[in-house]
Amino acid sequence: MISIEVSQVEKSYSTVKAVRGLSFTVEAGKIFALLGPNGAGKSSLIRMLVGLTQADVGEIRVFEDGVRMPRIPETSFAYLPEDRGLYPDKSVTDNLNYIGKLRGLSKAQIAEQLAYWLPRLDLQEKAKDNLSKLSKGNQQKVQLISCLIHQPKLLILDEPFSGLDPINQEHVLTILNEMKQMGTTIVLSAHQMALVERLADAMLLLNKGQQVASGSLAQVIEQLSPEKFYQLRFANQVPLESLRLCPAIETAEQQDADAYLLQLRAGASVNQLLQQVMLLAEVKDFSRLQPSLHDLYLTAVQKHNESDTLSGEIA
Amino acid sequence: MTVWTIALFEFKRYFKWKQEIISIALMLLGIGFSMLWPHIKSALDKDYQVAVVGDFSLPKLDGFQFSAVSPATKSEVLKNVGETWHAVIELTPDGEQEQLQLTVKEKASWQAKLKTNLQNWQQERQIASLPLTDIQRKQITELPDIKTVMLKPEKDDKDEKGRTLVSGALLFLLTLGIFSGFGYLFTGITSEKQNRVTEQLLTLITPAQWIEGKILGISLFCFKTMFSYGLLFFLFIKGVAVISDKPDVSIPVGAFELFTAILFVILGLLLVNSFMAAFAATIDDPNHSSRSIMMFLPAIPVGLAYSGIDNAEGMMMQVLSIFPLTSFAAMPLRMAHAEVPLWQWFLSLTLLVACLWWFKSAATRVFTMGIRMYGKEPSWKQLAETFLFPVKHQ
Repeated sequence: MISIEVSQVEKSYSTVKAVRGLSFTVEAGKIFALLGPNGAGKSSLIRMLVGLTQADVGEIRVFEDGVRMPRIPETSFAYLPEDRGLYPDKSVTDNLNYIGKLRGLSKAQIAEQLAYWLPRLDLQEKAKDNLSKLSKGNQQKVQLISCLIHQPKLLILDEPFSGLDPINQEHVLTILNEMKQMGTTIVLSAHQMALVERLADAMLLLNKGQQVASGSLAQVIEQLSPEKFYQLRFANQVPLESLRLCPAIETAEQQDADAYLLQLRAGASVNQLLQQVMLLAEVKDFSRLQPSLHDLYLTAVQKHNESDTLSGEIA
Repeated sequence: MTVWTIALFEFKRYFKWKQEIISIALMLLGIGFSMLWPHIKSALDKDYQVAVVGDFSLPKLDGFQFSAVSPATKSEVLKNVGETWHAVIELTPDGEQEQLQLTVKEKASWQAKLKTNLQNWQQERQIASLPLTDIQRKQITELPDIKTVMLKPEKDDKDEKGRTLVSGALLFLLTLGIFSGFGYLFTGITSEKQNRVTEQLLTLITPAQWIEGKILGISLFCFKTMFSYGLLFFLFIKGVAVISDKPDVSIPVGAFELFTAILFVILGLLLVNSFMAAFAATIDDPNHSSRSIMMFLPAIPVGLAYSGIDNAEGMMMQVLSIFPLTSFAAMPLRMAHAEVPLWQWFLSLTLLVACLWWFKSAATRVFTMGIRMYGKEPSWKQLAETFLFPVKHQ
């Protein structure tokens, strides 16, 4: 299995600093997501990972089964570029046969793989069509097959869900999970936060080439939203002032007759919170309010932009 | 293996049976039409009616119908100039001699041909009327014969025509091959860059493998084009000879000349295509790049070889046939007309192979630099440095 260590990597184009001192680790057999708005540096980072460009500063180390490799072996990995990366004037099978041969597969192996993947991604009927005649979503599926036919150990996907409808997004999600089960390490960039939440084992949120947050979904949420909110429903109405006097509660809001939104004070535990409120009334329902990754992402990027502008002005 | 996979893909990318058949059919149609055209033209062109007043006759002239008319009807004929008659010719007294007079309604382009013909006829008449002996008359009207002594056996006239035909065909086919390569490499590589095909492929193969495969595939395609059209012309000429019952056309090229032509042309195509693949990779937008003009440079060697073919034994043709950037075109042409010393042949081939090896390395460096550039092009200085020296300028 392949793992990657990225250490203090920087990349500039002319006067634009696309990537600024990024460090992270992609664990073997896990799915790692790169998140960020357009121009955040995701594609620049991916192009360095696949070896299309070199980092100005820093190092990218690749390990296969714990042994450091000089670079990613071509036959062990696959890269799905953000833009189209196949020949639009050639048919689906011509394109896939060519890529398959370049990946070192025999004719029989390619035929076997196509017989599996084309029907699975509903492309059997379009096998003889030129790529240019296919919809963007179908072109994306052909691209994906070109990355899967040699069963790579490392998959690097730049916007794999781009142009896909929800049904096909689910297909791809299932396929990527299957690849992960088979031990493939996957690095992907995406805008579809709901999918990333379900898919990624770890993620890196970028903005303007810098790290905003990283880690597992829980860790990212923790970093982006340290405040913990809980929704409680009591058996009867509780005075808001009583709740605000509880030491474990930072803020309290009444949502309707018997429902309240409580913010846990920093340093306090959920246990303490529950013990204190149960002295006031019987708790009928209790749940943590977890903001979506999408909301956190938007807020974090906005905050980062504001602080970046501010530090720029100060400088 | 990878290079051959790429080469085969590039060849098949442009080889389409339907297009092959259509282009051959169009070429045959063009040849057929050019052969028929003189007959069509003469059938469409009307004969100009010319009245000849007096007792003399003019030699036949294509496109003109001379009719003798009696001097008695001269006034009537002159009235009809521009209607029944396009021109009237008569002999009028001019001192002791007679002068030809041409009467037309107005100036027109067809009159030039008639005037030249009349001038020749009148000159011959005037020479004939001079008090000359037969020998004097022959000296004036005929070119003197020069006795040529050849120490080696003379190639017969039929052989010389065949050699001219072969060199002409070779030049045409070379031009065809070079421009096929230009078209396919230029459009192929620039569209690959624009479609970002490069992104995916460069993670699978090295730029060196890619350019080698491309050069090989496209050169094979160019050679296929040259071979198929060469064969077509050969069969066409043979066919015409059989149909018109004319003597068989001899192709005065031996096995060694044929081998040389094929060898030099293949090496030349590889050389030219290396250059074009490298420069195509540096072009970002084919519609706006000033670099596109560089792609026409490989046509220059063919032009130079053509300019020197009149003097196949001359110093210029000797230099061109040895200089590696022109030898692929000049050597086969020179060999079609003159005997080439074996040492020159070997020197030329060695230099060409060495130049190809260096050129391919230089082209790979330029290709590696250019193929990864999006939205910009390398500067001329950067380009020259990368092409000339084996150092990285990225």
